[in-house]
Amino acid sequence: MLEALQFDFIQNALIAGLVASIICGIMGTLVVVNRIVFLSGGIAHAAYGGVGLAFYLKWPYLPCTMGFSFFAAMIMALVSHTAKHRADTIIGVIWAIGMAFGIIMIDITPGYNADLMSYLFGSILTVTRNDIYIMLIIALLMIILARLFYKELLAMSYDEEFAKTRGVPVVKIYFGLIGMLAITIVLLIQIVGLILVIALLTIPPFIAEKYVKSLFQMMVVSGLIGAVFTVTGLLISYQYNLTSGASIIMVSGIAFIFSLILDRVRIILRF
Amino acid sequence: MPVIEINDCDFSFEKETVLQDVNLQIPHGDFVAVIGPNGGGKTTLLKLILGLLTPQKGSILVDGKPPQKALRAIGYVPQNVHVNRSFPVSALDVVLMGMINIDTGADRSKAMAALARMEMDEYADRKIGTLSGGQRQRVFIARALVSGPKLLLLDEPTASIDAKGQADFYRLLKELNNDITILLVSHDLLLISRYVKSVACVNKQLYYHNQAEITGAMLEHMYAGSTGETCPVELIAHGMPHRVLKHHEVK
Repeated sequence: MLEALQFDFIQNALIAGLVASIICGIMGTLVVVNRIVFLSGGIAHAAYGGVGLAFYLKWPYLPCTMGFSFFAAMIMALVSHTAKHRADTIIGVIWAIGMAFGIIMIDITPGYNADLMSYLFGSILTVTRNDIYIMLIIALLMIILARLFYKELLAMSYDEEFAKTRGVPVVKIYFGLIGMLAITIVLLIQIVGLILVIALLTIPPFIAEKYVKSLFQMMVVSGLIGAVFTVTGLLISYQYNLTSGASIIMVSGIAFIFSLILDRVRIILRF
Repeated sequence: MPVIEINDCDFSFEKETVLQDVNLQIPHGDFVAVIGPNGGGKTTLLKLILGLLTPQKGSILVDGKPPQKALRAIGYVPQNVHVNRSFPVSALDVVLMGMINIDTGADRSKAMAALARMEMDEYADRKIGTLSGGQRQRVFIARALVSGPKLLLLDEPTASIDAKGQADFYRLLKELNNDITILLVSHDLLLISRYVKSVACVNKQLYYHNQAEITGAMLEHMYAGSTGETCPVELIAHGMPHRVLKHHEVK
């Protein structure tokens, strides 16, 4: 299996997977503790509208899709902040419209048919060095922002109302978080696909949450768990010639189920 | 200067009037219980004092300043202590949240001192979700106290504590009341601690009953004996069978 490491595309895939794990460790932790998993799913799917638009207008993929997703994400943030009781419905609607819009855009784009599957599951094996550099820059930005606004993010995530009474600009921090989330998701969709993004955003933090004592530890441990899933999944996909993205998700999914069983066992043993 | 000064305040959600013509002056060292029916505006009043809501009419001053500028003077203990129980945060870190945006230096030692005051210092490193409801509440009070407020606001603080715990809890508040003004919202119309010095009845309008109207001597006279020392909780009700307070005069 080690001979796989001599291939450039495997090396790139591993590096991309590790960097994606770091980004998802930070953002996923914030997504899970703020309970915005559904909103993240909404952004990821609505992003497909941006993909379609980029193809139709022949605009560059990354800025066009990021702009589109950012706009959709801001609407979702506005709705989830002002009309909480209707938020899930409206996010669901934007989710669906975004995808449908993207597919129709691609339909009416002459002479080209994008492969939907590559956006669902990504194509981590075709990642280029350039993609990796962009990811590294975003990862660095993420670490800096999380460091700068750690206290505010922690206070808002734990108890929004109390944070307001301490003068934390909760609304700005929330919109900032959603905006960064949109950028992260679009960047990672191109590389690992939107389903893997959601899996990496939610599963590692969910497992980490039970064993850590701070948000910071949760970010670090989630990143490590994500890295283990990514590497294991990639090696399995290489060994058995399976789709890489789906392999990583299956590894994560099995670990998720295991962690649930382990919880039950721990509860039973305590009695 | 009163700690809380509310002048002719109106507040409505959309078209529904929640509070009307509210006037209130809370002097230093007061211990006010805010009572009233559900939907009567108690929580809205609290949020107005906290600066989370702004009245459509009238003015609110806390420690002589608008609430948004008096953040340091206010310590807030929210109602729900069961929120986010799986959240990875230690008791100490929760208390430190009370110091955000307040430059004091030596944050950690101050937070530890606040925990110690609540007799919770030995739990500083425990994950907040593993503490009992009553312990968590003490941590939340420490979080409210850590910024050295002049006014402590508590929303329905006894909901998560059992009867025995409530007696201890009120004794604790009495002690805090030595140097901090306390305003406590209670959803329970009948039970109010004997340590409470005044009562504000809120049902769209607000009626304030000061110490003279609910003197301890009067209450003890009416409820001497049985409830006595074990349970410092007494009855106050406007209606029958025991009328302790006069009916409100219709404005």
